[in-house]
Amino acid sequence: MKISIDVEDGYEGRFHYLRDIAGLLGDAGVEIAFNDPIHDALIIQGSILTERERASGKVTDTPLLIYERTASGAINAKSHVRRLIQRPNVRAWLKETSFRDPDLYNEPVITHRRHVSVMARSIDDPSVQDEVTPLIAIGPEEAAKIVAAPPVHLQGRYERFKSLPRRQFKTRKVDICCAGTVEYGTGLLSIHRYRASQEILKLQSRATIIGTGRVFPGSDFPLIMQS
Amino acid sequence: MLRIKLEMDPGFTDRGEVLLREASALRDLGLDFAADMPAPHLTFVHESVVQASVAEGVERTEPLVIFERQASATLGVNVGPRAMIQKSNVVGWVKEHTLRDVSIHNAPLYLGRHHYGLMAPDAEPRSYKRPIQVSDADLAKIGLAVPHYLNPMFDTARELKCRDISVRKVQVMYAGTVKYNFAPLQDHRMQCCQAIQDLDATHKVIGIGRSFQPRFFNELLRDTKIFVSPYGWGEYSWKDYEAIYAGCVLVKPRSSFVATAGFDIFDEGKYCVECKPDFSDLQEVVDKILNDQAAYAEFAQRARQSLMAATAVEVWAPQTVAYFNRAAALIH
Repeated sequence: MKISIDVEDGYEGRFHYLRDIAGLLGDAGVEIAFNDPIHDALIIQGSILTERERASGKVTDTPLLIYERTASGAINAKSHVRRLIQRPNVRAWLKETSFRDPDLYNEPVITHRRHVSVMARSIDDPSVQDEVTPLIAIGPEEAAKIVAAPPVHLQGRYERFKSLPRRQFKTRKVDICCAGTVEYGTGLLSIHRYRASQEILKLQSRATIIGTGRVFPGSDFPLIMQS
Repeated sequence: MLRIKLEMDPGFTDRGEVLLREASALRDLGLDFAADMPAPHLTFVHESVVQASVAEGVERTEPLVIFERQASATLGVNVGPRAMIQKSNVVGWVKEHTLRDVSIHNAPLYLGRHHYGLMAPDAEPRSYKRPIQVSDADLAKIGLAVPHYLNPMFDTARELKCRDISVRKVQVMYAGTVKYNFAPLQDHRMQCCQAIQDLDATHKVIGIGRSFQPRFFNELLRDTKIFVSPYGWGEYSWKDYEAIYAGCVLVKPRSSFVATAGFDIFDEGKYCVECKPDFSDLQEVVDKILNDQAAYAEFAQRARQSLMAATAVEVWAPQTVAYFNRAAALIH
């Protein structure tokens, strides 16, 4: 069986791990290809499928493994997305992170992301009022299709980390490090991240690093994490 | 030729190293420094070495120029240094940096150092103590003779290749300790961190404690536009020089009352940008720099070039020579 992978530019790397185990997959009778029009099944990014079907006016009947590339474990609350997972030819729904408890997919959420609701509730943010309960629920049949893949830890960005020699925890000088963007379009996320760095700032007797924005060079960051 | 014996505290030999490294050039100018100088005209000696002699009951009576290694520009407020500077055989008193206005050494001081009072503007007036008074003649012994920025610890920073601040990613950076067993200093440093944390700037680094390995620190400095350096036990920090060597715009709480040897780093408006000691105007200061990066790139570049130029022995040595000659003239 040949499975073709069709994802947006910049996201192919997320599936390179399958290429890396091509031998094992071949032994199991599965061949992996990228953007191959001749295939038996298709791993396709949801956004591409939607656009392609809109443009062609045709519904794809090939067996599909939909890749929902979103940073959140939640499934987009929009009905057209949820109808996709209900399709019989959608055999799997790939997400980089998924929920252990499938009921969480149906909880009211802000901006399609459950953790945003968690953040809002934790600080009584008024955006809690913007929570929306998905109109189409994820039932047991759909939940069974959800797979946590591709594995985040196999992404190429971690090669540098993996190559580092192990450094013992007790020899590390930095107690706590927090690095990342704080300024987001949505105030809630900014508040959440600001609060994290604010709490770290209070730990005066600890050696801490607070890096706001993309301030550490990629080449040095793994070493900073290890320090 | 003025023969000077160098007698540094073993823990601080780096402070006098430049005098030995440039011994040949200094000899050409009439000063001969050596750690084992036979029949010296005077001894340039670390204050702690003299104090140790005193503790052992040995009075040093030869002509001395004392090196007071204290982080603060204020003359040591304790009895020891104030009695020592008044001795007739003490003909000079070298500090790493000093107060431009010498009268402040005798002014009421909050907890013994002038800048502590700036950190704690709300301190009770009664907590200001008038130190043991030192005469104008003895205060005139205080001087600058050893450029701090030539310490070997800056060798790496001096070699850094710098980029224009407009292409640097980190807008504002702080790195340093905040934990002190001295509340005004701890509060001051936390004010600094909090002010940076609250800045309306998107790319900031706050490193608390000795959290950066030297290599990362230097790399980060090279990628930093503005380095904020609060007071510590003294007004200056080693990082002030590192920031300028790395081509950052140095932002300091008011420090222009402090003079430094060779390169006058805190000379008002020349090499660093001042903010209020409580950092309440940091946003304004940072905005001004970030909104006019072309001008401040030049400012940082000029500061770095001046500092680099001041590393040349012919630039700093005349001040050293003049100082020791002046001290030698006081030998009875």
